[in-house]
Amino acid sequence: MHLGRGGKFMVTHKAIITTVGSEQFLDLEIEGADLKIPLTKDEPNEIKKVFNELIAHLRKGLFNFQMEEKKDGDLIYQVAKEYIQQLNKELGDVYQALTDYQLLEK
Amino acid sequence: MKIDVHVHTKKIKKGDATTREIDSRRFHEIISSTEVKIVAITNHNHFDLTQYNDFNSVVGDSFQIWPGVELDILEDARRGHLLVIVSPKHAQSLEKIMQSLTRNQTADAFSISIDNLLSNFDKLNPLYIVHYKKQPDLSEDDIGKIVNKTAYKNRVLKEATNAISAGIFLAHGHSSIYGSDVQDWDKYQALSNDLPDLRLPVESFEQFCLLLNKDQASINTLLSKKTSEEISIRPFEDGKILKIKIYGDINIFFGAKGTGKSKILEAIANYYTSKGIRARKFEFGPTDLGEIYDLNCKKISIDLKDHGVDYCKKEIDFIRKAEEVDVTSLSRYQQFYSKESKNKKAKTIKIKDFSAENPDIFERNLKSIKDVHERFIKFQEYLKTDKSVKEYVDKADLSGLLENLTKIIRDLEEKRLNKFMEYWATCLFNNLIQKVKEEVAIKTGTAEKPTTTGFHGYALNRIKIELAVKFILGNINKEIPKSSEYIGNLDEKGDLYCKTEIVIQNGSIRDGRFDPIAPNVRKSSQQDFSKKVKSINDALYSPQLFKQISELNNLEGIDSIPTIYELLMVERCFILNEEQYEASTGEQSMLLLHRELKEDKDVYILDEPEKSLGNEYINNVIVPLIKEKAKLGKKVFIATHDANIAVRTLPYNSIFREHKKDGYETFIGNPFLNYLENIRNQDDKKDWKEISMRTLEGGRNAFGERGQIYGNP
Repeated sequence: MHLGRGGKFMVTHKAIITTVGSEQFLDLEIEGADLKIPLTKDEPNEIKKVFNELIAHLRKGLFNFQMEEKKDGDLIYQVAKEYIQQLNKELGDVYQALTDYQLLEK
Repeated sequence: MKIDVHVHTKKIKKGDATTREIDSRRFHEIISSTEVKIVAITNHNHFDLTQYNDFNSVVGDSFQIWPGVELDILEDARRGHLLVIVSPKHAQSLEKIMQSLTRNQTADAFSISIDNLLSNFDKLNPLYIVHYKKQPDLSEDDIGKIVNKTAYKNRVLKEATNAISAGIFLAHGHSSIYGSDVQDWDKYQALSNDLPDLRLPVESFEQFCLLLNKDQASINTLLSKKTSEEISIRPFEDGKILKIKIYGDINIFFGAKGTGKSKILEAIANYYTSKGIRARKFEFGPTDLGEIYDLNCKKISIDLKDHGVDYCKKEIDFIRKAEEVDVTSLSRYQQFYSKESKNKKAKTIKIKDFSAENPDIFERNLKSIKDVHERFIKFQEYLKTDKSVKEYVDKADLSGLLENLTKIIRDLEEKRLNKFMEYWATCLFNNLIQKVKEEVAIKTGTAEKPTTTGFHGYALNRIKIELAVKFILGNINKEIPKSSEYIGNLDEKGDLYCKTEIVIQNGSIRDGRFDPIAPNVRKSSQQDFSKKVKSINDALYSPQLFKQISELNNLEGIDSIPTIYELLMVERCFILNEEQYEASTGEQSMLLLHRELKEDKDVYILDEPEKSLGNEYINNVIVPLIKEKAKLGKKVFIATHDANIAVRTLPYNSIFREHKKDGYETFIGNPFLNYLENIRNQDDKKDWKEISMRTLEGGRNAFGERGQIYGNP
């Protein structure tokens, strides 16, 4: 846990790339949730399911994801890294919106 | 006003209860709490001038106290009681006479013969009230002796035990009255309700005696205390003018059927209407009470805001138009990184690699400070322009407040400008990034780098739908208080009310009593709508959300529900003793008349109000209401064949219509003078009582039961 945007305490979860068969996924490791974003094929509905879970978790508090640093990461690593970077920023924005609309869990 | 000719204020005889004792303060307090305006103090064989004066000094002008005494009459071994009541100006003489008569005798032992009575008291011009069929009472012969020997024959009254007895005596030609003969002052308030009413505002003992003599001048003086006017109307086809004097009291029209009473009432209604005074002739017709109270709720209208309920038009519209927001495809990232531009120049354009900022937060901030700023400006404007503020707020305080407000507003202006700049700088910055990315992509033939995962847009879309849904659900679950309007009294059955219950269909109301308020909305559509909104709420963060919204849009009759108003359902019915009730035709007549009389206006015109009504209802409800209007000086016109109304109300004005061979005649009079005079010939007079008894339905009975009302003995 560390101080995040706006001085709020923020939990950091791990994000790792996993391989199942020929497909690769970005696993977002939040306790009690199975959040897998397909990296090698377009599955918008799968991504939306993950997003729904993220919103539900954001109501409990702000968090972000961190990937292990790799100097010579492949294409998938670069995609995942960029994705997580953008997602982290958007998690903060959505958390702020939930706060403004008083939709956080008390 | 009520009169009590028989009260005790002291325990005089051994048999008198101590509860007859009363002091001046309590006497004042108790009598003032009743409608009694004249009280005669009549203790047994004793008159206490000191107490009388003491009482008068405390009572002041609140009510009249007449001095008197209750004497034991002994006539040839026959005993009876008799009240002697005199004018207040003879109070001292009364005491002197009583002192001289009772010297060396106890009140228990004292008695007086009729001859002695008259020789001692006649000089005080008194009122004699003898016990009659009330123990101990005098014989008819003894009473006859008093009447024959006194100089004031019209002032000998017979005291009955109650209103019914007095009525019977009156019916048999006896001048009769009754008093409380109070035993216990604690019970006086309840007792006073049954005391006789004085229809005319009697101001003194002397005036009362003149009334007993049917003195025309006195009666006219009293009648003239009510407002009156002469009106000219043309009630009939022949166009002849009918001039009648009418009172701000009860004006009764009676006479056989077909003598033009209804037409006169109509003409009176037109007369007042033409003067801009609300007046209409009330008569029983086919009008249904349910129609008047709009039981079918065809005319019902309600403003939800009055009950703290929002119409939710914006929210319903928003949900119905909501669409899914796409997320960014992962392949776009792959495309970008797999074909990342090798163009050296393109690499120097760093701006294309910047991430876009989310402008929503800045937009919300800008909106928030704008609201605060504008409210302060409005408040400042109000303080500067409102005249009442200048009138009630201290000048220095107001000036200080305005100075502070000016400072706050200036500060807010600055902050608002900053927020404005933040927002637009973000928008412009995002546009710049996007534009540069597009240009670089076009020039180098490589895919542009996605600026968002789509999470923010996706989440915000659902959050806004959640807000709208929750707002709607919050409102449809609100309760609108039931309302109840008093309609009238159904005699022994109780009071009838019109109950209106309005509910908002929140999806769970299955009660068949309710119907939609809005026309062209089906009950099933209302229920389906609310259920579907609940389903949307359950699916807010699931893949089913837009399937549910689509089903909402496909509901039958969905277009008939643009707001929550269309979800309103109503039940309106008559309620009696907490149970739904359907009034019979007779009861509807009662209630319609009651409703008419409950309306606050200056002129009431009733055509045969007794139709379809029982005597009990007329006596217990309608007559008191009519008398109440008369007390308030309202003009009440009633055409009637019913003696309960024409007689029991003791109208200031009785107008009798008669059909003769050579046409119609109109007679005007009143019960106090007891005659009716032809308006075209002053010499043509009729006996009011006789005509009333002969012409009106139940006439003789009405006179028999009229004991409660004193004024025409």
